[in-house]
Amino acid sequence: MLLDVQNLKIDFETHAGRVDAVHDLSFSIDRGEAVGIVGESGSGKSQSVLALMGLLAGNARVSGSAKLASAQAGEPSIELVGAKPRVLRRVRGARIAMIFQDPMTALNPHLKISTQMIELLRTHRGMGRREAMKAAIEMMEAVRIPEAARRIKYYPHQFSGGMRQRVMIAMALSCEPELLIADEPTTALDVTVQDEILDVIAELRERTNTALLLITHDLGVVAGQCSRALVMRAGDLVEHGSIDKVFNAPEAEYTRDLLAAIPRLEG
Amino acid sequence: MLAYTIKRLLGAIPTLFILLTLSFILVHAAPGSPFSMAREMPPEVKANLEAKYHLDEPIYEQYGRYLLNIAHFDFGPSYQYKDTTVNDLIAEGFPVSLTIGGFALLLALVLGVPLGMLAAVRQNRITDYLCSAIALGGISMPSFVIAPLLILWAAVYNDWLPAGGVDSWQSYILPVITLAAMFTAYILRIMRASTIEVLRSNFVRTARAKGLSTARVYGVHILPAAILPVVSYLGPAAAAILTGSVVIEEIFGMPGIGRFFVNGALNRDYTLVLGITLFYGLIVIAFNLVVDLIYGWLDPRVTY
Amino acid sequence: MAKSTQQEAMEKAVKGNSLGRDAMRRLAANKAAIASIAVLGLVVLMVIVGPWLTPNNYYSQDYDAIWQAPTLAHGHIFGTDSVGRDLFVRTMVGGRISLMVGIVTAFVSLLIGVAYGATAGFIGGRIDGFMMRTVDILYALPFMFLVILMVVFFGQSLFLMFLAIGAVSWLDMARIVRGQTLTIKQQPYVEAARMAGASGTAIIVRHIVPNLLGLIVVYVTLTIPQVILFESFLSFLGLGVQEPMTSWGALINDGVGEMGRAPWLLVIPSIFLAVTLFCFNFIGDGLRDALDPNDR
Repeated sequence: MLLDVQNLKIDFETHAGRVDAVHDLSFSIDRGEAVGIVGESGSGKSQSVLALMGLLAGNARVSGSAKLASAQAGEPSIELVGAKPRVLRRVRGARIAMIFQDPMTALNPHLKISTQMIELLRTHRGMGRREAMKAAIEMMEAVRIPEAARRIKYYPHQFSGGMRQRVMIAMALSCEPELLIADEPTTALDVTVQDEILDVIAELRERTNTALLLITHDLGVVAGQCSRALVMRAGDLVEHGSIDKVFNAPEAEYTRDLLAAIPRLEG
Repeated sequence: MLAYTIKRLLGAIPTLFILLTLSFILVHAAPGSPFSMAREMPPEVKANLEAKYHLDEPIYEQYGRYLLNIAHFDFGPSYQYKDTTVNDLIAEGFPVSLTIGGFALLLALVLGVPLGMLAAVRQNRITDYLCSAIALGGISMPSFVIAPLLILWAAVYNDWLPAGGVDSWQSYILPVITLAAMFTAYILRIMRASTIEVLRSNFVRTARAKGLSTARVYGVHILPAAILPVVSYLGPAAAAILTGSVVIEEIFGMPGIGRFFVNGALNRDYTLVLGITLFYGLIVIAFNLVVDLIYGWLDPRVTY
Repeated sequence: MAKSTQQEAMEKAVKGNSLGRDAMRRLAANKAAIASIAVLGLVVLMVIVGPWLTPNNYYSQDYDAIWQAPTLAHGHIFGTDSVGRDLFVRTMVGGRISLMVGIVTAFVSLLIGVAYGATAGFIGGRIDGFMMRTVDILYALPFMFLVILMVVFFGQSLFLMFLAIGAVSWLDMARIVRGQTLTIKQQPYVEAARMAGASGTAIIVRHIVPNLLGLIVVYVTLTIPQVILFESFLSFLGLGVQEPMTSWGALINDGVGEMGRAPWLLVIPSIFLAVTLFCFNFIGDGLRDALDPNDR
């Protein structure tokens, strides 16, 4: 087991009082496995994964447990909830990487792509500048960005949305993380680009045996990419099972509603 | 980049033109101006003036001549200081003014930028409130209040620093601190606001998700974005620093341009006041231009 | 593009808000702002009533009490200056001038700024471009020096000072109002009013200006201290109000000349000026935060 989440609870202190975001979430992922978390916006799915990374806002309170298996056999696993910043920094980017919904704003507009890719390799892999540059260009090529060696010197605004998401993927997978968290990776993109992005992720994942935690509101995407799915609604986990079970024998009323809402050609 | 520079240069021309025309009209419309000869003045100055400004010529020729003189940076003779041109006075005073203004701006940046970032990071905590209160104080305490109080404390009651003059480098300490106070406050506030905004942006979350060190997140990812508003503030700041240095030089008795300017204004030394106004105007326009270029260079999204 | 940051921050801060009950409640919870309102109220009251409460006036000279330190004994509670004038009365009368210049001029700049900005934003297109380009150009001028130039050429007068300072300080307002107008113009209810055949002026007066109210209140509270500062600056240099009339800036100028011998002449007017500016700034900040809770 790579990641074991038990009884994850998240709430926020706000002006208006305490807001519960996630009530009691438990799930696990094996190495190389792909799991989808499905739910509408506000269901707490994004909050959950941000909590795993320690990236929630300062007014968030997280309790429960999220254990990441050790990199080498025999060592104790790492507790992510409440972990020290130093511990989290070594996990982020290196063992768990993340790509976000909006590729237009997720990259720093003030820095060249090369800078943003190289810093990751240098931080976690201890590479020198030249070595990191070479690795970064290879990664760019792996996500099928044409003329990677030249375009790595570009700034983000010189790329289209789809290309930027490819850059994000290249960056996220450059340190060969054990888990990739993709938070609505295709939602902000054109329909024609969405499949290409998902293909790129699947292809690279296969190569590096990276597990995937895919967060989406789109059941169709989950069906194509994942072996298991979690359905969340208003901070609760309402359904959990294999894709086959979730699609063909859903237990929760909500899941049936979601399935019924998928447009079908035959109508 | 070159095209952008040229575009910016061309953009400065209307400003320059309005500045020159406005001052020309002011000089000619003013009652009791040297040109209406309502005021007693030494004959040699009068003769000099008439020769200089060719007052018998039609107004458009005078205007052309006036533009021509300024194009040569020739601001004419001073009334008040005999046998001295305005150019001489500017040349004499500018190094002093530049020293005070330059160091004040530097000090304001060195203090304001980190403190503003600190306040933003510690938003709504003691450090933030403290920084914000200090900043409000800096904005609310005019330099002509801070300066005398500093002199009283550091020079009159305690004999730590000279109260004025330009005899040694210590003489510059109090003026620079005084002048920097307000700009530190403004830069702090701007930096705080922009850092708070940048902290909320997605790319900072990405940088954190990459497991970068805190120093790298702040230094490489946040700072370049957050500092842009401070950079565009530097244009107005330059104008304000020039204005501020007038008071500073007056209080600390430093022979800078500002002091000449006030003396000229009080003694109705028309050419001197006009000359310095134009000189400052040129500096401000030039500085704004430089700031724009720096901004364009810092922000890759600016299209040239 | 390089933008003026302060207004930008201000624009952002008060995005499309009006002075709602929520905002007032948040303001009431801001202790610093409430304290500032109280202190400022006290200062204003003192300045208005003060001169009537004392037998002294701002110009008469008491040669028996020159350089009198603050004391209750001679009836000069703030002391006297080098010719025996009572500093209490002079500070109060000077305060009247400073506050009056501040308030009147802030309103002048408000009127010009709102009219100009709303017009530019409402008309839009090429005229807007031209109007705002003009503002940009004026921005780059060293106004303080042009004002002093005017004072030198036209002589000193209170009216000229109103005019000069007012002419300078409307630029910020024009920019902010234009930005807001552009935003509000896109709102469906304004579209609806336009469809219903409302005239441009009617739309500006009925829909746009009321929506700018919160912004305007914040702006005015932040402009008043700027103008007071501007006036004090001129008076401090001896280019503002003329003797025997006085203002806080002029008093501080007198005080600087005698600070070794009579520090109270410097310290007391300085405190009044600084406290007043501080209060206005605090209230302005408080209002802005009250209108935009997200920023705090």
